[in-house]
Amino acid sequence: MSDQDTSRPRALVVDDAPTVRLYHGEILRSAGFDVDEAGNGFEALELALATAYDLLVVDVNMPQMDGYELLTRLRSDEVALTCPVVTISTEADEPDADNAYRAGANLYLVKPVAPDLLEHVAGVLTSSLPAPWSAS
Amino acid sequence: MTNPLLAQFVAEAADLLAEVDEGLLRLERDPADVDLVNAVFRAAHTFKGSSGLFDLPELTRLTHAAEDLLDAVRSGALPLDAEMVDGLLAAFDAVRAWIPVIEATGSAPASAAATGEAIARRLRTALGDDAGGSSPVTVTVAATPVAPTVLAPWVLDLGEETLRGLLPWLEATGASIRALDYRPDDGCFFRGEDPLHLVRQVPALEVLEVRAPDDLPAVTEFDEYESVLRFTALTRAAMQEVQYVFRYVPNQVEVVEVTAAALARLLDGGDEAEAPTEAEAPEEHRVLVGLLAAQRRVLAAGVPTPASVTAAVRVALRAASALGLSVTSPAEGAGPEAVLAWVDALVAAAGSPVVPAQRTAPVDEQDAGAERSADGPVGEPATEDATAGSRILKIEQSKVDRLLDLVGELVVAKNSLPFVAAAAEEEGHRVLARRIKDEYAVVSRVSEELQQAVMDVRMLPVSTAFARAPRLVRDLSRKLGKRVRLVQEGEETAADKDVIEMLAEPLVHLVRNSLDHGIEPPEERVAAGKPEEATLLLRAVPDGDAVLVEVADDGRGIDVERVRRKAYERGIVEESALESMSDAQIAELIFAPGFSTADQVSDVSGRGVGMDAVRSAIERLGGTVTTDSRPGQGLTIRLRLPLTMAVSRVLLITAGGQRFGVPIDDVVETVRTPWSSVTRVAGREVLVLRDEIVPLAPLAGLLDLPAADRGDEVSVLVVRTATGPLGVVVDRFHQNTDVILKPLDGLLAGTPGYCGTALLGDGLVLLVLDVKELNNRAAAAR
Amino acid sequence: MPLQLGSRTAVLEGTVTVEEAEPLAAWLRQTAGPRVNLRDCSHLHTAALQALLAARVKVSVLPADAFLRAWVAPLLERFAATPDQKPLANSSKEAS
Repeated sequence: MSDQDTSRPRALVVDDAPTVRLYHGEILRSAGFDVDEAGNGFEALELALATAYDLLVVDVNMPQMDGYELLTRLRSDEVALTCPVVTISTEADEPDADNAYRAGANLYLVKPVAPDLLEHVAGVLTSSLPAPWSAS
Repeated sequence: MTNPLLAQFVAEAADLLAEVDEGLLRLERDPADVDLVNAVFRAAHTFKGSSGLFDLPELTRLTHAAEDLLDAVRSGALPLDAEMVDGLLAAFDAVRAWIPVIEATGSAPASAAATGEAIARRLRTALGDDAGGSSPVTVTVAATPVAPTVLAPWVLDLGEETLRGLLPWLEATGASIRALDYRPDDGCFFRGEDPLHLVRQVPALEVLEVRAPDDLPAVTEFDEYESVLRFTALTRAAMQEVQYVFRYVPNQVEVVEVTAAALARLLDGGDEAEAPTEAEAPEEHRVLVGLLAAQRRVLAAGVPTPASVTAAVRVALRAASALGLSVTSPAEGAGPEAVLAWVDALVAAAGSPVVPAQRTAPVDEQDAGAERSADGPVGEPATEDATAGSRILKIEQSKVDRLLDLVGELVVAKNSLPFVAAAAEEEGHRVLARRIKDEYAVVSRVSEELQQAVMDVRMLPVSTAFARAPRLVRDLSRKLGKRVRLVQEGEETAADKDVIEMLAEPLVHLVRNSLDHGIEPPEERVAAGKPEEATLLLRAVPDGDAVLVEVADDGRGIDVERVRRKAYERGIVEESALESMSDAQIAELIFAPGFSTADQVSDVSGRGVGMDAVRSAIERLGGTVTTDSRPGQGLTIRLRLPLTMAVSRVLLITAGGQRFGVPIDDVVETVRTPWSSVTRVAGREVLVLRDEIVPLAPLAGLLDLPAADRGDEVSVLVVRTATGPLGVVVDRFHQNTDVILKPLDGLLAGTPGYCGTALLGDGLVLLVLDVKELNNRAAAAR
Repeated sequence: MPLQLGSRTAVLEGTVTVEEAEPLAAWLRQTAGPRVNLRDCSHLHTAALQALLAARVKVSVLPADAFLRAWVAPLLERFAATPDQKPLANSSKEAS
């Protein structure tokens, strides 16, 4: 039972609500991910800068630094994080989805997310790339 | 897994309840404490979000009501009063009472629905009554429960296949779409109605079905004044937008909100459960198609960063490969537009009907048109097909660039001919010299034409740069609650590829700026006696060797007073200077670095990019930006861009440890020779080249730079001047390169010795030497 | 002039209004295998569209207008491919 098995994909779950964090974290852990959790945007930013995650699951609505801002920073030219990001929000509004995609999210899901949906999406998003595409 | 999660929720609930209690009580004493309101709002929001993970609808509903009320307080739409605090406390007291039951049984007590409903109503009443017309609040409240659970059967008229394809996108994104059914009555033509005209006003059409009755009579028995058609459509436009279009014929049209759940139910014949057994595979398929569709939104949204583009491409590759599609990666370094087209192709291959956001794909559609009209060319004048049928050859950019390189080399070779002629003349071959000169004139003309022809190959229509505007205007106007009509003119005007590509970015910014700051909200426009719908005009006009691109709106124009104040506050201009400035000069200050009229950085034109970035981007292209502001009537920003980038070929050299450029047209040849071959004539160092005396002048000396140590060999750049050849001694030669020459400005303006600056590929600024001035200095040093 | 009615092809230009629906329908009635050139047509009144649909016209040149091209031209083509309810005595079937 190794904690840091390098062959296992690593995910970061960002949510200010511990219950939601646990929920998403457990789904990913049972799907074979090593999961780190962050309770706010700053913590998430630090972790994401220090660790090469294979997947980020980010709550949109958080105090101080919200998911959009976190994502905008991660996708900026300074950080240039290219790992897949799933944003999760309580709002089904189109403008929120637009904001998430504009900030660079790869998928916008509305809470509560069904466990098998998250598991499926996480699996696809961390599958090995068919043809490595190196971007400048 | 349920148990630890529930335990976590109970623990979280205790914390949140304590926070809310304390916060509410302190708030009652100090209702103006913004941080406190925020904290309580957040607690309610978190409660709502977490409760959604369990089957606790009572809890979710009640905390949602509390969240909405607190949101209104937080946004300042509603002052918090004692009665509201009572309602909120009652809400959280009820929650507190439910928690032990939830912990024990996993669900709320039986009485919870009724209790919760009563308190929620109380909270909503406070919200409704006191918030008055405050629209954001009412919208939030109303937006959640509107979607009807049962869709009208006419939705099926849109085609089951189309609807099924739409489902994964709706599911994956949680979005909804509007369906409309418009049945104009028989006599509508007599009332001056044109149903097709109304339908074309519907923004963001995804699907349009026009249905004629099955028994549409043949034209011979047909009464053209009886309206018989029926229109069914899907649109991504908001409900209000659609209703606005049909405001004069409300009883002939029905508009419904289509959500994933409602659509699934309609398609699967009213059965609540997902279609059984074989649903497994299609469900996964839907998610994958939804993922692809999501990536196209990333790429189509605003201006994705390179990291976003890379991430989207990788996700699209994974989704496509999971779908079993054979995939080729987009070209490395492909721009967002190209990647978007690539994803569109994948989405299409995956069988989704999610229509590309823009229907402006002129090239593809023309190709399709050419094919179709070729089907039946009977008796058709050939000229009619000429535009659609013009043949297009796709060429790799690198090949065109290679041509351009060769043209550059040809120009250099051509430039040596006059010297050959001079040499011939000196040797007494006057006839030969004359013939060489004649040939030179011909080669000169042909090489210029050749260069022009190659540049023409690189011409692209401005529509390429305009392409992002329709989507941008639509998204922004919806987001900002403004009504804006986008008009494009002169999209076919062509300019060099580099100009067009670099124009796209500033245009996006100008469009954002106009929507954000220029165009007023509808109420303000109506109050000012303007049409509710604003017009944003993007126009390109050829103007000699330049192209004018205008971004014109009929909004407020530049508020000169406000600009004056801001410029003073931000210390951009001295107060004394401001007083002597004309209104037009003050309006120009919006382009000053550090200036932004937005009181706070908005997320529309925010992100720290100002109009100064637009100006510098345009100037980098060798263009200019001017404004024409008519206060209260609108603002026109006019970009004047060179048709082709003023591409100059320069030879890079080093002298005195610095890099410089010399226009290749001035260069006769480059020579490396031992110092021993340099002789002195009349006190000057000269080089004898093919019997011609070339005076030497060290570049470092002419520019007052430290001279490099003399090696064994000397590098001489022979340039052509009005007084004959001059040998400029440099440290080293480098390669030739194309640059865009900009006149000297800022601190360097007016510095003699240079004809301009250019930005090199490695980001360094290159000073380009003025050979004429160098010659003057060399002569003066004599 | 938004309507140019030739021997077999009608050229529609600009905005075709409800007033033009009548001459257009009259022309369609007396023309065998009618065709329309919509290249420069920017809008078509519903009455004119109905007449074109009823006559099962063939589109000879597609409209440049994006809306007409995306939604109306395919509709006309679909209709042209369906047989007339009541074929005219001497005009409907012609070898193409």
